Amino acid sequence: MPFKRYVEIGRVALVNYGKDYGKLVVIVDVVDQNRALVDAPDMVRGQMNFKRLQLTDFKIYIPRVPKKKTLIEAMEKADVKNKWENSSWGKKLIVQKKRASLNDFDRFKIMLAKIKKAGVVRQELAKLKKENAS
Amino acid sequence: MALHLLIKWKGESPCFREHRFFFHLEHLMPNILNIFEKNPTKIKNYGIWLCYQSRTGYHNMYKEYRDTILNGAVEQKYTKIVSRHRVRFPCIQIFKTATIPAKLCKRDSTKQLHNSKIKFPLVFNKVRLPTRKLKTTYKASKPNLFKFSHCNEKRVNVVYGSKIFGSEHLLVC
Repeated sequence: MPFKRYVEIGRVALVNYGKDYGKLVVIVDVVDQNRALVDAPDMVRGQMNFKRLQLTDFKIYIPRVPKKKTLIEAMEKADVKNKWENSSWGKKLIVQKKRASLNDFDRFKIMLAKIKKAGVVRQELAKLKKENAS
Repeated sequence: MALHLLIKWKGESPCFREHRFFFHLEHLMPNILNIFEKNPTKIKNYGIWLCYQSRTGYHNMYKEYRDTILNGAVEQKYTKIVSRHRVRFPCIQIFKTATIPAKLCKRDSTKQLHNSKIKFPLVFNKVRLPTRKLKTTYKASKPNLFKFSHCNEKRVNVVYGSKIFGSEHLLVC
């Protein structure tokens, strides 16, 4: 099948618009063609338009419309939080958040670290060039 | 939110009905209570029986909507009837609403969602900006609508607007 991410019960999705922006939610049921009933451990179960959701690669195994406790257990079992934070998409979001919350001193420290790293890279490059030339 | 009141005023002109509506609102119903949904986290199939006045006559209808709360279903119903039949709020009377168990639903568009193993891809994925502040008229590049559904095909003209989304899936794959 050319599609890999499906709207299905247990699909983990990221909210990309609105009040719950940035949250990972689980699709617990489908209301109709445009809306799903979503749930997360820290929010009240509610309906959300698919336009606000971006499906992820992760899926947890839950029965249709599970109890909150069941949902939380299933999420822990599937280790959604860790898997998300280790995925490239999750990592990118963490880095973005970090960057947005930097203060001037942090940015100064980053500047120094970048200069140092560039210096080390340039040294290695110079070594390789020398080896190649000789 | 649409306040749902069960009042029958059939057989009168829309103007007169509106006048009567507000008259009764003020004189006979000094206190209107908002009835909150008992289970707003549970999806229900709502059947709505209504009567509407079109340009040429009166018609009865039975419509089904899936929603978590009755007010939501009624709102859906009003907007759908406006779009499909061009009938506005004053010309519609709801005389019955009920929560219908899945077995007794009549409409295919609600029945197709009664599947415990429901599964479909999101075919048309226009990624929106997180806030309207960031919206711009022009963008540097065309949006990639299939990037996040991981379809191997190039952009295809999908006819969405069809109720049965199974057919959309077939069109694209």
